[in-house]
Amino acid sequence: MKKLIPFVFLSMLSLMAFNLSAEAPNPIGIYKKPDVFVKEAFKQNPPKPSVLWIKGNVKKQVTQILGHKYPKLRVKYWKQGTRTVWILDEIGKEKPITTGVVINNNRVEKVEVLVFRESRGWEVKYPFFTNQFIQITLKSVSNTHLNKHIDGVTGATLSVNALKVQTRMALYLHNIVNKNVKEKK
Amino acid sequence: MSKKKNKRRRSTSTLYKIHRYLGLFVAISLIWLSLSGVLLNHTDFFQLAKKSVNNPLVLNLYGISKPQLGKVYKVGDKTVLQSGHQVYLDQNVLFEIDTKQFSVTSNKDMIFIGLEDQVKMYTWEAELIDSIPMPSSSSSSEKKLIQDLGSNGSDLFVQVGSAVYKTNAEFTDWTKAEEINQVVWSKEEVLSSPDKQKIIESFSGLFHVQGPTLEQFLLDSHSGRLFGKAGVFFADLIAFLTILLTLIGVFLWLKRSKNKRKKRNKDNDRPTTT
Repeated sequence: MKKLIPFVFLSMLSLMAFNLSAEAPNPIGIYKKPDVFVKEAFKQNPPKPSVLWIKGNVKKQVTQILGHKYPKLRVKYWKQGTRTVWILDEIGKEKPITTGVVINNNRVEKVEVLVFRESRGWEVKYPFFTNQFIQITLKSVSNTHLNKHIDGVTGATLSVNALKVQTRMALYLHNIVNKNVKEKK
Repeated sequence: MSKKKNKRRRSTSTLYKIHRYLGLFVAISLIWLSLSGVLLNHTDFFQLAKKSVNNPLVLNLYGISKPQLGKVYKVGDKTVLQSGHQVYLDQNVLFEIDTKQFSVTSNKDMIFIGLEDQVKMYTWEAELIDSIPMPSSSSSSEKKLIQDLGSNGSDLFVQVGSAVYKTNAEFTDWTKAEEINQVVWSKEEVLSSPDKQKIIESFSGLFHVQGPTLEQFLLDSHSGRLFGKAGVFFADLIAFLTILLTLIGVFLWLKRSKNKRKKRNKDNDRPTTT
């Protein structure tokens, strides 16, 4: 028994040291600058940005999609032909995730996580997740739910939800700027 | 045989000593852990989440200090000021900043707050309209930092190094400004000590120190987090020592009862003399 005590102490110490060294990689960072994303979406020749004011019926619908009020009174977007690009912020768990969404002909062309500030859930930045959004659209003009199921990522539920609502919001706002939905005041 | 017996007796007495001293060492921490655990189990009953701890020692442990009055700007009849890490428009919290570098200007519709790399636009009712980032330079990797902010009544101007930029009508993009004669640049209020005191009194709520809730304090002291990583490891050590104490206790108890049984059997086996 006496011989066992130092052994048990040593095992505890090594366990503590292992815990200290085995920290998760830091996921926080700017993966792509928003202006670079916009340039890429329009093949290095982006149009001038426009703004859409979040008010009246749009405000109500956006609040319904997000489940809370949008923190800004207007959203900046880029439009060329049938294609629009949106840079949107939405809180995953505690901090905003900045995502770029490209919409073409009312369908998602690309979704990319640009800035991730949360400590967990960064797996949503990988193409295996974001590629699921390609060619997705809203169920109908009045139903702002996505027309296809998006598979979640274990341990990243809140980040997944954030990307889903960002995509829904981008599709809805695309409809607004293309006058597919009548803007009521 | 007796040598072996002596060795066994010595090891048992060492175990008793370890058990005793471990018990003494762990006792105080265990009492605190048990008490805080009981309190945390009844947070609603004791309303721990509604009470705050404002003891200077505790505030120091949490790194909470009294917010200091930073820059003050007057725009129309409104005041934009910095208290600690927060920027306020009158009594409304606008955002948090880490530096003291910000400037403020306005036109008839909006208030503009210039940070190092962006300008935030607010309504006069403190609602965020949008943020206008400084364009990233493609020719150099040098970061453009906003030094000053100005307005000619309608347009917004920023000074970046020696250059002055102007926003377009929609406040979405920047172009180099040619005409800047009409621009009124942001002006920080220069306050004397009594004036500062007056502002602190009129915005007293912004300079009030709020400590952690009693529930948070108990939770952090229960887990050891109150003292950082060292505290957590100390709590782990106490948990480990408690387990060790229990195991040694059980071992000693079993050994003692075995010896007692042996002794009783021996007494029973001994022939009785009449």
